Amino acid sequence: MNIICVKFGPKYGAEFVNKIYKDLHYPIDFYCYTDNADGLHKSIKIIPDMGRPTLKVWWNKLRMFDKNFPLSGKTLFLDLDVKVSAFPEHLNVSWNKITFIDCHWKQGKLYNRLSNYDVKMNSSMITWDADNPEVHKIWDHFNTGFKDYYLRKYKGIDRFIVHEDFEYETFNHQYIQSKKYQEDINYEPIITTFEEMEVGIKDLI
Amino acid sequence: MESKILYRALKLSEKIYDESMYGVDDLYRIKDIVHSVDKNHWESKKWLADKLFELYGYNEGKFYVAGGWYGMMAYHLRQKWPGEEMNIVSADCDPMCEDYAWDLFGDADIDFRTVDVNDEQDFSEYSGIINTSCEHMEQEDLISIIEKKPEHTWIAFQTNNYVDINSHINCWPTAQLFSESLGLKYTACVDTLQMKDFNRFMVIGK
Repeated sequence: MNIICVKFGPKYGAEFVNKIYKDLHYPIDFYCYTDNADGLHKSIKIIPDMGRPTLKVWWNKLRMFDKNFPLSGKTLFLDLDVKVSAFPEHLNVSWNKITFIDCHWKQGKLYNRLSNYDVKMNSSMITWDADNPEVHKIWDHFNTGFKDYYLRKYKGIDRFIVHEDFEYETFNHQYIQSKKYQEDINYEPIITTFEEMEVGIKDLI
Repeated sequence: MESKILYRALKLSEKIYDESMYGVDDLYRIKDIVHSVDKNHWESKKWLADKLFELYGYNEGKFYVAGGWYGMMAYHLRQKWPGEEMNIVSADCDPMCEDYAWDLFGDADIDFRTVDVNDEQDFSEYSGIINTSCEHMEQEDLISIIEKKPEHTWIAFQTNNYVDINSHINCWPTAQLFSESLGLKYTACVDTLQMKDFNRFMVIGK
């Protein structure tokens, strides 16, 4: 299984990537797709910025679904602002479909409105088969004449994927802890997410 | 802002809402269209049309508006060049822009098209190429337009320093640096329009 992080722009430094790599404690194929490889651990395999179309910060995550992206097979993506607590060796996921985090803590009428905009999934952790043509359709759909419109319409890739009607599955809830919404849990998650929170490297230790 | 344009924008919003009830659900288009006719866009596009009119010096020709969005730039050009001897093309890669531009400015004798700027290879027939969306476009595409155009074809480009927008991939800190990046052989105007939250930069030349 490939494990990959995406680092673009100055918000998160190399130490965030190195921390995830070291926390995994395992001989793995660990990749970083980045516009700046300075300071990354020497064992991390670098995938340099693939260039056009130029994208900003988190929108570069979509590039992982380009059929020309240099990965093959089962792949796990982790955001840089997650805390890794266990090695995700035996993920019980369907590799036939792309899989995201189910934000089951988001409740309320908002999510049932016709004009609902926020979504109940997030992409802090994603699994997919990099050879799956259904996943490549996500990039192909984005990279059309509507690209600039999507960048205006959607705050990030989560909303793009949900509102453009791509099919996906979600992880077992016990793989994930949301720091903001699930402070006390009675299980051992694989990762803790910090969505909607400002995160420093010390928060991830 | 002219009341007829506002009225058409309202009617277009109604049409998009109606469509969302029975067909394509894309209510964000309403927000996008409202944004396209707001005061900032009205002023910055009028600013370009006024300045280009001063410099161009002829009634006839053919203008190509790249990244023309819903047609506001082409409309302002038509206000300055009302005669049929000026041909105006407004192109955008988003196919919905062509549809909605006809709704907003269909009586302004403008040829709205769906074209990706990378697919427009032949600029030989144009006497002016206008682009107020440079902040959304790859720098190498802007340079490519300049390299492909005839020597005497005018260029009128705008960008801005509003880097906090995700779709703004080609912002510049000053008008002068933007001008230098384009490498025009002749530069007639390098100017800045101060907006509320950012500056808009304009370069006109050949």
